[in-house]
Amino acid sequence: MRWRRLFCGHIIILALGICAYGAPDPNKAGGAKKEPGTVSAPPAAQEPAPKSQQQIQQEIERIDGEVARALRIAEGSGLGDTKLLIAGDAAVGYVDPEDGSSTFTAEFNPMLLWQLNERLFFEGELELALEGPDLNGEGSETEAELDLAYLSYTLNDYALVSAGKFSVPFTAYHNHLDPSWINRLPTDPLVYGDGGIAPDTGVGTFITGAIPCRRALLNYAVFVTNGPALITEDPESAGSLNFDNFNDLNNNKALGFRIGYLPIPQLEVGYSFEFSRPNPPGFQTVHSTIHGVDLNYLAHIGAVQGQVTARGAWIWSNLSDATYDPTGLLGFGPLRFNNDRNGGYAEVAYRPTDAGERWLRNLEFALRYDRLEIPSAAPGGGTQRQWTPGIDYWLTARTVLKAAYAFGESGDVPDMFALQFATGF
Amino acid sequence: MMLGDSNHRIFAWLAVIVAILGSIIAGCSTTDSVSGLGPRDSSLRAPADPPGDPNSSSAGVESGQKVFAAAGCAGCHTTDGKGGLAGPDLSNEANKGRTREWLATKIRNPKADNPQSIMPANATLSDDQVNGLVDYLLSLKAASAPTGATAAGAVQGRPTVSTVSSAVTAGGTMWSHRCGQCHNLRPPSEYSDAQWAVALHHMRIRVPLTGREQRDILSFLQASN
Repeated sequence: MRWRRLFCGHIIILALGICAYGAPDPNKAGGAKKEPGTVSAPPAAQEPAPKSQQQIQQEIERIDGEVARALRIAEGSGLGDTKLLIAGDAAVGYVDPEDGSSTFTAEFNPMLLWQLNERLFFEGELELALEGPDLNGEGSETEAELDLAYLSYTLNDYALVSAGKFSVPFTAYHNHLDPSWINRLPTDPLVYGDGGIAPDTGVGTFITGAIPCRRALLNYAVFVTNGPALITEDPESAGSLNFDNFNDLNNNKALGFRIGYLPIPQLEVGYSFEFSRPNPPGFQTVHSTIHGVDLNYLAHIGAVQGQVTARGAWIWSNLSDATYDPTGLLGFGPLRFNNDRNGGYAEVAYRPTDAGERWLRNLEFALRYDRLEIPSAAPGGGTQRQWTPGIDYWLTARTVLKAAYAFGESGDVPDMFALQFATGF
Repeated sequence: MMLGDSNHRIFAWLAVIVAILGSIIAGCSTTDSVSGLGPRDSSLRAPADPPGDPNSSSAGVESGQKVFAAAGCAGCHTTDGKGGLAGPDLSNEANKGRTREWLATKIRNPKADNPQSIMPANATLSDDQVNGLVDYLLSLKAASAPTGATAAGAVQGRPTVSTVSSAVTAGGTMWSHRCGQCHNLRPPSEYSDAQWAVALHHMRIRVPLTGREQRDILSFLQASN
């Protein structure tokens, strides 16, 4: 019985299909042959009946489905989850030191950000710079460097692990504040510039993340790098650390960490530490211990109708005692000194963001105090102090024209006028 | 460790200790401090019967308050001492002489007044929603004026903001505080959704942010571009 019912059903469906196929299509001009002398029905008679609400809904659902299918096809023909972004910063400048030649400068730091998927991320950055003579009027150079190249993997909401060449998370400056469109002044603080005492970039691996702590936030970074190199043979800088060293000199890695604490989102205080053995092969064993504290605060203060930024850091660097050029063959030894180097900066910036006039809102005033203490017996030793007031004009949120005058308060730091036009992209 | 100058050592350690103590006190306080790390519903309370503007109504104020919350305005703007820092404080618009027309235009097209404004346009808001927002902003005059109505009349427990808009609002606040702590905020419209996703992943590594902060800020930026 069942088979018979099925058979009959199929026959009926087949018959209906044949009828439908053979029937003239009223919507086609040639669907029905016109008999001579007949008159076509008026067009109005061929218009379909108004669609019901249900039909409209079905039509919308059908269109939604087609759009979704088209989107899937479009996404499938792309690069999967890969997302690329080119960012970075560029700056041109002019510096006029009191005791040297004035010069123009230019730098371009393109950054390739590549999100391979939700967890994998690559960052690469080039540093291209033209630098004029130094403060002593000596030399000029074109600098091209692979500044950053690291791969990062997101473990969970609170931890990421990365490896490659990265900005060492030692205090906040290099990681956050030194791009030219972020730094309020045209120059770096002394402790982070050439001859500074803070780690810059390194090759190795690090784990970083942030953890909510009630209303506060705790962030951390633990890193292992090849470490800095102790300069032992240069009579002008023996005893200082070269942080641009990317090879492990003695199979001892540098270990360090930074802990940041944000009691409120606008305030961060941090503590950093790094331990390493930076002596080159053949030189006596030297241990390096560096501590650092940093602060970054942003506030909108109604009383001054504007935004105030306060930043600062202090770094203590200690290297165990060593004798440089012990035989005197290099011409400056034997030289032995207590190798403690300390320094820091404090910076305040104010922008009248509530001012009625637009040009006034775009102004920002900055003042920085720098201090760097190098043992007096060491090459280039002494205490350097510097005050740098500056004024910025923000053309856009990420394009700024900066002017500053640095007042050196010691003989080793000359006065200097600096202009810079910087943009982030 | 030898520290060279003992005066600097003492000064530096004192500064650290003061900073840490201050941080702990501020961070562990149970009072409603401006944290910005969570939904900010408490900052969205308004006087029950604002008398500030004769053209406003209680219904309009309430409606505007809800729109203010749902659209994530508190992410960038401070009201009653709480909210984001990316935009100006909106607690005192009436006392600044703002007219209804000026505010409505500013809400719809922020660049009409200031071409450099980073505030996203709110072209999708209806006239009623914009009017409600204007009512709400003008009503804050009473709350902030020294001799006017106080927050004692604040309406408790409203409005209820959806999870999505809470994330957007929280993300906006975090964007203004965390990102604005180091640099100026570029207009959200400068990047597409995909570009913001990459930028936020990058900043999560650099800052660093939690995964939730990353998602909330991304929600805000993708809702605002």
